[in-house]
Amino acid sequence: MLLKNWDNRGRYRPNFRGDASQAAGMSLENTAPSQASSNLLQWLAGEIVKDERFAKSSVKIFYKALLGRDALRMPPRDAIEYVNKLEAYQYENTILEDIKEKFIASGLNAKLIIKEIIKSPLYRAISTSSTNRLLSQRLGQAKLITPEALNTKIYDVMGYNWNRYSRQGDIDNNNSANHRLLREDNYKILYGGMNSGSITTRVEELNGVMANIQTRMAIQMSCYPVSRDFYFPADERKLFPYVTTTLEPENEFFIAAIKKNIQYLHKHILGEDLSLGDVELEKTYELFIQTYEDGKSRIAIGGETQEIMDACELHYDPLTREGLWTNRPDERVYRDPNYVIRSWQVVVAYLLSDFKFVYENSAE
Amino acid sequence: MLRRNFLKYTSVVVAMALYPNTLQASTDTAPLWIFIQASGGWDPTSFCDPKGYLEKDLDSNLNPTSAAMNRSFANADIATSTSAPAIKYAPIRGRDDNNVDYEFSTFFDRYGSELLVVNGIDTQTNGHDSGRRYMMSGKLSEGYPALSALIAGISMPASPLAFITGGGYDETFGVVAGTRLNNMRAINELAFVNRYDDTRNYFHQNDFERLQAANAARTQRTISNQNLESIKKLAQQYGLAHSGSNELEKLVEFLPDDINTHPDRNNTVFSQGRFAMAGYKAGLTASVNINISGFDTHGNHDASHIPRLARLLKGVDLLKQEALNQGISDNVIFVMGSEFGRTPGYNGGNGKDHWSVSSMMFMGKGIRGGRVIGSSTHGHDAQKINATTLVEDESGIYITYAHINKAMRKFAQIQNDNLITQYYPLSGTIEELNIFS
Repeated sequence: MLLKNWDNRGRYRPNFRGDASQAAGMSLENTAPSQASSNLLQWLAGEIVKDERFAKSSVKIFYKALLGRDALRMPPRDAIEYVNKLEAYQYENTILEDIKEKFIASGLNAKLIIKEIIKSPLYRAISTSSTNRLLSQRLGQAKLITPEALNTKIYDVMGYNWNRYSRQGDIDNNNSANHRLLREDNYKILYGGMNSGSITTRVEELNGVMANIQTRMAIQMSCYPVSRDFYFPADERKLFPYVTTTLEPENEFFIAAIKKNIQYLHKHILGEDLSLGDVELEKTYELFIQTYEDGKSRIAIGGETQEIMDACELHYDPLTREGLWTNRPDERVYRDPNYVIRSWQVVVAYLLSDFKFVYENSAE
Repeated sequence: MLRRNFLKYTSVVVAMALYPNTLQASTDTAPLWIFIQASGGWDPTSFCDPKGYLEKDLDSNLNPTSAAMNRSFANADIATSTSAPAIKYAPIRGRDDNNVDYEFSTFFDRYGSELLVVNGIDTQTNGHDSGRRYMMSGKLSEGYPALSALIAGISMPASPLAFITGGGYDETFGVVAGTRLNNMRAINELAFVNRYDDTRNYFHQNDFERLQAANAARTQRTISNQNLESIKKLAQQYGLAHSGSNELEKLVEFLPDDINTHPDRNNTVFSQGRFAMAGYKAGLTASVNINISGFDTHGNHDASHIPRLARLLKGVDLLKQEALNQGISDNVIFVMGSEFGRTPGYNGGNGKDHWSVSSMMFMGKGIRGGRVIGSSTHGHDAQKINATTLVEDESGIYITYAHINKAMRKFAQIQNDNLITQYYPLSGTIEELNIFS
């Protein structure tokens, strides 16, 4: 017996040799052959894999990993809302059982589990006609993104990492040792991450501190990274392919270009396919135009500078680190006489701090 | 947007489902609960349930053998605190975070009269995860929140910082959001998210307020548009968390000036506890989980384990003094425990393995100190007690974490809350032990 040194209460007893009458999660009828006595662990692993419950457990582990929630258990008969709980359990369990069977039939190919879960309504659903609230909680996916994944996502979307030195002096942006969401002495632990030492579990429910980290990220990533994006030619930009730093909403063509860029940003940052005229697109345009008009009026009365704040300015070629003052002064990004750049900064911050950016989700 | 405004805009029914006691006011005199989890399995025989080496444990050179319960002190030398009433403890010392010796006598002499020690607890498991879960929730099986989370969720449900956690078993299951606080510089930044430096902000204040309003409005639309409860619930959590974000500023006001310079700032118990005390003074925090790791000493037990105990005891000592300095010493409750104990004697690597008998210590508001409840044999097997008189009784019961949790729930006056009775009752035969009063 592999567990020969542990007594019936789970205590370590070096001289204990097991009790065949004890109940156990795995049948003790299947005893190890004598030739396996020197490699009991390998023998046990082989036996576990043969058990159907291994396949089901594997499905549940991937389910938790992909959806961030545990699979339901059969509710006890005296449970509150038993009928609804049972319906939710049966619905989910039927899908997981089906995936388990396919997993076994595939010769235990784990990739199949991932594909099947992602194809299922447990992952993909965006709506339901069921009035069972408990069932509705098991459909679709929404999961707070871990600090590590959020760090990657920020880079993918912005083309620039959220770094402790995210400004033009940052010469080592890709050095993960400086990434705020990866540093324990910065935001990694505060944002619910682990250090596999004193903290071995993740925080999966957003709290006030984590909310502030999201806002801080959105504000800082809409500072220099926005200027940096404007530096590149339009066809090389991540964020602003349809507008310039001086394009103002002065006529219908310019307004159309601004809205087209907003439409693009919703798709690029949030994955939303909005039609022109969609209420969300109009709300974002409203944010842009209000910021623009307010800022421009402050500039007009001398109550606002005509330059973006220095932390957001770009005076070096972001790729070569060459200073731009002498040979290419017009390529610098710092002047904002009509408050256009700052209006776009607010828009980018608005989208980066949105629920749909910081959660993996199938939200409508 | 303030959290209360968010609750106003969100369907109250929905908000109540998320945070069942959101509209229940907390009382000003409610205590701060400080739960300290010694992660890895501490060895009570090396401090509050002392077992030293016996004469028969000595080899020919008079050195304790591996059969000794402890090599660091003789059974005959077990100390008794100078406090009244007295508490027995191990007469040893260990290096603290500054590599300075901390005498266990300092702790027990100073706080013996306030300490309630419960020895001989049958932990019913020697698995790390299950042990932590059992100690903190009263349930061996999964699915119950930590008591620290329940207390915070019930007493201060609307605060974004009600439950501060530094790890250990801190499952909340939605009764409250757990918050980690461990970095003063980062907290300062996060309290003022739009601040660039002492004089400048990233966004003009008009823009910042416009951004926040637009975000809140969009969050409301996102919630309204969701047909699936799974997504709606998280979108609501997102909205609630963002609606309380200004309250971090209040916390910063109450943080001590020397939080980054105090000579004992590296003491985990002390540093995490100070954040919680600031949160408590700001009216934002009800409980904290402090996790101090390094107790799983399967090798070189004495050299590794005793310093960890010293750091824990010193951390509590420092926090007691901090509470006094902050004027809240009458309103703090300390709960100290670990998932299980360690084996009698030493293994081949001079370590001690997992053992399903342990101890807990309590002190603070409302707890009658200077007492030891429960006991164990010299070989650290738990002894039964009488459930009524709490004295040793062969026909009595073993104390378990279920008993402790049941008693703590009553002591915290949350045992009749709907959240407890409807969702997280401690079912089965669990005798009510009058441990605390």
